Amino acid sequence: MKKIIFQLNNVNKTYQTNSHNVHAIRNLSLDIYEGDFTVIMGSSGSGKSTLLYLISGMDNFNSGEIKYNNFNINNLSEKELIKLRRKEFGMIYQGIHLIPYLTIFENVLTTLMLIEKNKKIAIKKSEEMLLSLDLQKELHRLPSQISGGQQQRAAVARALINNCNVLFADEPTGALNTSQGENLLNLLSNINNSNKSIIMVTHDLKAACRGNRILFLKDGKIEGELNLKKFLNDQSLDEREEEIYNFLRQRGW
Amino acid sequence: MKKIKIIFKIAFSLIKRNKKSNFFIGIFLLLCLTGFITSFSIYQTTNRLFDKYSDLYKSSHELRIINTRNLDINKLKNYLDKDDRIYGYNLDYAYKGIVEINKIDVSVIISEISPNSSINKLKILEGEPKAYPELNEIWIPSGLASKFNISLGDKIYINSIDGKKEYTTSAIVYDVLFSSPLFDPTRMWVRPGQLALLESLQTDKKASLSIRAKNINDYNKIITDLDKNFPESIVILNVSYDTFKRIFNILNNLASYIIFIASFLLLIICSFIIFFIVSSEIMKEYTFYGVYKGLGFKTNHIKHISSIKYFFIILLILPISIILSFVFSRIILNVFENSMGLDYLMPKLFIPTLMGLFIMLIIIIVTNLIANNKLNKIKPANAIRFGYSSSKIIKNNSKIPNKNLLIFFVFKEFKIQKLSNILIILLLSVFSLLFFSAVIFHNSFDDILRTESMIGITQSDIVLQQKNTLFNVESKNVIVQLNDLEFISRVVPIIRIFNNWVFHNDERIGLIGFAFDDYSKYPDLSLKEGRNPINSNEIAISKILSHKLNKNIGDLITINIEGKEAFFLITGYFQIISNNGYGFRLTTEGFKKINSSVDYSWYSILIDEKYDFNKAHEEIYNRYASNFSVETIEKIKESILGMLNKNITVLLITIIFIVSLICGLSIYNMNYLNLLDRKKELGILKSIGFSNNQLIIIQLIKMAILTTLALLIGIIFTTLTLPYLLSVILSGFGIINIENLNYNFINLMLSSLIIYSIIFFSTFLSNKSYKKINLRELIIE
Repeated sequence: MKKIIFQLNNVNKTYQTNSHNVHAIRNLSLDIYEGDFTVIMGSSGSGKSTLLYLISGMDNFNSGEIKYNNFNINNLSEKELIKLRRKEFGMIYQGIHLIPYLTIFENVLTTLMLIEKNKKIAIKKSEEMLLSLDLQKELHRLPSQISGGQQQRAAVARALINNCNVLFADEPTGALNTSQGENLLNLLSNINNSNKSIIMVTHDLKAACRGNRILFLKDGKIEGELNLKKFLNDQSLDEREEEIYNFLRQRGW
Repeated sequence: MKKIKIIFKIAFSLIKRNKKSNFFIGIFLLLCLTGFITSFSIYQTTNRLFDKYSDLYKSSHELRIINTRNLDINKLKNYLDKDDRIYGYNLDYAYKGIVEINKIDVSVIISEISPNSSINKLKILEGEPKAYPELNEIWIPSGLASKFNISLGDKIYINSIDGKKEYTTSAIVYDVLFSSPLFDPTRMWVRPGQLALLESLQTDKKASLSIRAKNINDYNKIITDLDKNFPESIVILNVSYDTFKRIFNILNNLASYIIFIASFLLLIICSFIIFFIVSSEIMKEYTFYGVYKGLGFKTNHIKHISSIKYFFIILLILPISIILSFVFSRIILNVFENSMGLDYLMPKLFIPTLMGLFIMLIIIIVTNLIANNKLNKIKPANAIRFGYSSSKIIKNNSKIPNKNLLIFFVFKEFKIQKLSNILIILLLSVFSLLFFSAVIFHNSFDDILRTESMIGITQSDIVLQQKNTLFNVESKNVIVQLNDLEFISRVVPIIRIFNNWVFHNDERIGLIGFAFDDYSKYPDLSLKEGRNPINSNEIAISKILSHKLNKNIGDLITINIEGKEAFFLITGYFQIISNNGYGFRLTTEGFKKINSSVDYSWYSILIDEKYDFNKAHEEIYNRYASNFSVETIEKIKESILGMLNKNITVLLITIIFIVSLICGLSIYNMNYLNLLDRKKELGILKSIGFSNNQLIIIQLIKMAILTTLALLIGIIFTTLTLPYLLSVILSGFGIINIENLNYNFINLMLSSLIIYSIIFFSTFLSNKSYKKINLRELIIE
């Protein structure tokens, strides 16, 4: 029996714009399981990014309940949320969002130093992390001095350095070319294979097929769910892609 | 025409688009514009105020108190009537002596009101409007009322032949010449015929002669001719229009200097900060400028959009700026009103507003032109794709963060925000320069006021002042008696000489003179240069007088003393505050050559430290109070200089308050704008686990370091510039040479603490607002 890490009950989120309210998430209930590579798919404006930020505690919701390991995220104090961000959650964004005036190494190291007080250990871990992502030559370069793919790998390094339990990814391949995107997805698959939970938002089928649980969002509601085989060895990427495609076509999406 | 419309529309939409940042830019522009308008308004409102009021109320150009013993009053009247240069004159009974107000002895001139007089009009500010006071009533000037907190109905006691006579204050009036509380002695008014009741028939009567010339340039000549025609008249007191005007304008000039300096510094800071804002805006909107260029806009069009945007903002803030300028002007003018006893002064705002607006527009146009040079280099495609990226090659070698992660980020802030940090240091340096200058000025001025030689006399504990100047108690007896008292360690007899002047370029400069028996006995009568007079033909003059007349040690000087011209050899310079610093020192013999009947009228007394001061004071009072005013030196200094010191303090506090407000708000604005620019970066730091407090602490540490640097720069520049500035500012008080400024360590530490507090508070407030924004908004938007 899989352990539930996130429980969403009747969650609602509304944005206020100048002219009207946008009901981005409507009475959404959902469980997310530990170790899953959960993919949230949907067309533009379906609310998938909103959902991701709600689950990660980066945005507030209007009503309902979101629990992480039985703790209601909405009831957590700022101090407790910071603890989650430092130790439990890692985040990678479409726009990459490294601190522009810090080198790759400094971006990763400063994140780790929020929880690791021993400087020597922190330096060693950061170097090892960047090495494992094939960034050893780019350690002392600024984000603006490396390619998009390298930047995204650096962002992954920063997200993983605190040994987080859950990795959130918002359109991580959005700013990358095909080969860079593929490399990143391979990396995420490897991370998931080491039993880290990943929750990823994408509209790209090629990215989606890396997940073992695909959730389809439309107008703020989950309209469908597709479970794929957990390991890529058991099902090829093409097969997975085709399965998702057929699922969507059957529903006329 | 269409293009112009489009440019205006874009500029307007840019304001709407970045409401928050434009709001804070607007606040900053508001502060700058308000500062300019206020300073111009103060200058314009108070400029030539004395001349205006003097003309309005037909004030006299000369006031004299003369002894009528040898004077043929009718002959004098006929002479004055025939002099067609004279607009009008008053020749009335006068009483010059000491009155008691709230148990304090005050030197006054009491005049009888001439109901049909064409000059010296009085305006009743409080009390029933009448032609003159009733019996046993007295009218007092507004300056005196504010100095001693006198209200209608308060009693004033005048020494008379029958003892102290009680008079009731029935009106507080405005008289241009005497309403300033800085003028001493002051003047009061009684009904015609009242003064005869105060003095015995044997007492020499005094007359108050006030003359107003038709043409102000003639009054010096009128007086010179008068003295030639009436050499027998004994002038006890003589004050010219120039002296009245100088005293009236003391605070006005001081405030004008301070405000001018503050405005000039504000102008410099404003230019830099607007340049910084415009540059930052360009970096932020780089992509959009690329889009505009891609659509066919010329670089000049984009520059116009930027300028027009700021013009719009200035137009929006203009009404608020005018209101604030009015409020601040009123606060400062209120200080003038209280010190000068003036009526309500309506701040003039029209021309100052136009001037302030003009200066702001010039600054915006020039800074836009310079900052917008970057626009020439925009390649639309790169701008649209990549936004702004510096072309500088940044040296990047990873610095391993210090033990403290926050200090690491503080130093990163210094590296990436160079221009912004330089501006902050500049702003804070100016702020601390003004703050420290005000504190040191106040301390130093206080020290100057404490020195007895600044009012012309030796170091004293108690001063006896002869009450009746014509019938002095013989000084030989007084000196012997005082020296016999065992608790007195030193007695210094002093002659105070009135009715002296020099001519300089048609200006008659009134002087205050002192004569001492032997200057070698009194080292506390210090000099700036040279020595005190030894021989009867020698004179020491005040430094400001020597500057004015361009006279040096060894030169001859001609002084008119009591109507007689006398030549002296200048032996040294000293500084005094009395009479705006215009004075001289003679030997007793030197003065007796001019007036052989004169005797000492003041006695400076030092009490032996072994004895109880209060008991000694009481003993002296009991012995001498019938013939002398017996005052402690503190009271005398307070009466001469207390009001001045108080008003300068209030003015300095007001200016510090306004400058602190501007600085605090500017720092808040700059920090907030900086945070708006770096929203995304803040969001990322929060998302990886930085707490709000850690982010605020980084900013506070950064500001602490910048403030410390600014304080050091401020104190260095204060040390370098303040002596010179004070010489210029205080020259109106007679002080043109300040050697030792008072760097009171505790006061400077307190000032630094206040500055730190203002900066920390502003920084904390500006950063605190980010607590409420959620992460998603920070990162995504």
